[in-house]
Amino acid sequence: MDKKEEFLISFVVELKRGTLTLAVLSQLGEPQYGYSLLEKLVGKQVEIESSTLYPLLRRLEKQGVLSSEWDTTESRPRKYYKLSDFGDEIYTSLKKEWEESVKIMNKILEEG
Amino acid sequence: MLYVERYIYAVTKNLQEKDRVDVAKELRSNIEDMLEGNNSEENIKRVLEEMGSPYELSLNYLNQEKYLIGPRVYQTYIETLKILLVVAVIVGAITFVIDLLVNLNSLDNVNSLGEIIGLTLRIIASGIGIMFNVVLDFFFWVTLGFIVLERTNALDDMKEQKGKTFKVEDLKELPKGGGKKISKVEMTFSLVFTIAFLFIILFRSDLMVIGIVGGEVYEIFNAATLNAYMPLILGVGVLSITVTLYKLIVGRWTKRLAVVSAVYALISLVATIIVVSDPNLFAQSFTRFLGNNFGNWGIELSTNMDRLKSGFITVISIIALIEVITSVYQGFRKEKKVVK
Repeated sequence: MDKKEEFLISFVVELKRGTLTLAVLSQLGEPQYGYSLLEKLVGKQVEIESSTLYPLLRRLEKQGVLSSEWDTTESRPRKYYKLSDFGDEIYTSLKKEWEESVKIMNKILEEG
Repeated sequence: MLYVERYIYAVTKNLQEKDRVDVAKELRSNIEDMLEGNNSEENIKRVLEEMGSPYELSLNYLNQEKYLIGPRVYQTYIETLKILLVVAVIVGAITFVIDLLVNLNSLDNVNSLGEIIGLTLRIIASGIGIMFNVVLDFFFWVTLGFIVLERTNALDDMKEQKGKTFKVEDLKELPKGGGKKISKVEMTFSLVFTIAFLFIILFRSDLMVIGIVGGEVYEIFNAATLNAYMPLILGVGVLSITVTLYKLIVGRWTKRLAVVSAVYALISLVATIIVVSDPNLFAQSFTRFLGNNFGNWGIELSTNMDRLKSGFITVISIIALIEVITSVYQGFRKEKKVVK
């Protein structure tokens, strides 16, 4: 892999990392468990790894953005996450912020 | 499923107690989902290696890269500090009391109430000053020690894997049930005793006297002889503290710990014998003291001194032997069945 490719990849990663939390929150209006969320995101072409997602979910829960519940009814217990009320507010605000940023960026990129 | 358990252990062992169980449960559930019912060894390998290095995953859970004193070690660090604080206070108190008693003699020369108060205050201030100094010193050295431990990754072997591509074969075996727990209380007592002993010998050897109020003050040991042995005493003392701290950190008996403990017991025994056997150890004044006070019991002191010494040496040898045997027994015995 030559230097140019390396740099490009690192910039792209940086760009995408910023949108990760928003992408995750967007899928948590309904309760999801780790793996189902992972599949959903990957299916929608969000590049995220399990080793990033699982700790992220835990952190978001600690921050009060998500609430969780263990479902012990199935053969295997699973931890389900979804947006808390606070998380809902955050998500709405964050989404607005994103839409603003996109408008601004598009303008800059057009003119530039 | 062995690899899975090892993986989960490797990820969670550096986490805080309260997070460990929860994260393990969730991780196990997620991994099982990812296996999609295929529990073949190659599928397990694939899934785990796709998840990546357990050390990196652990870092993500911890959310921080560099620690001055890492989480694995931090608990022990705080506990050690607490113990040493207790030790420092006790040592300070002991020296203060002895100081007070020794200085009772000077009360004879004191006439006014003002001077008595002054003297008492001075002793108290000096006592507090000593304690403060001792506490600061210990805090500094302990912190430094733990920082070094952290930096040299002495306690964390997974960090060696950092940077290399993760392979399940690299996972360490789960720790066995482990030997009997080491009593923290015992270790604290040991630390208190050793540190008080060292402290007095090093800084307040003037306190090793027998003083009769209003009368003569007899030095017990020959200052010159003691000074000659100072490096040895200091060395063994520091070794003792290190071994005790090591026991505290590991928390349970292991083979390695047993060997370390046994070797230390022997070293300590040899050093003690060397010091005690020295004919010049006891000061003239001390033998005089014994002579003055016990001579009329019909006991001939000089010959019996030697007998006392050999008796003492025999006793401590037996104690050391017991220590060695117990250590080896604790470290190498077969573990009892662990009941869940």
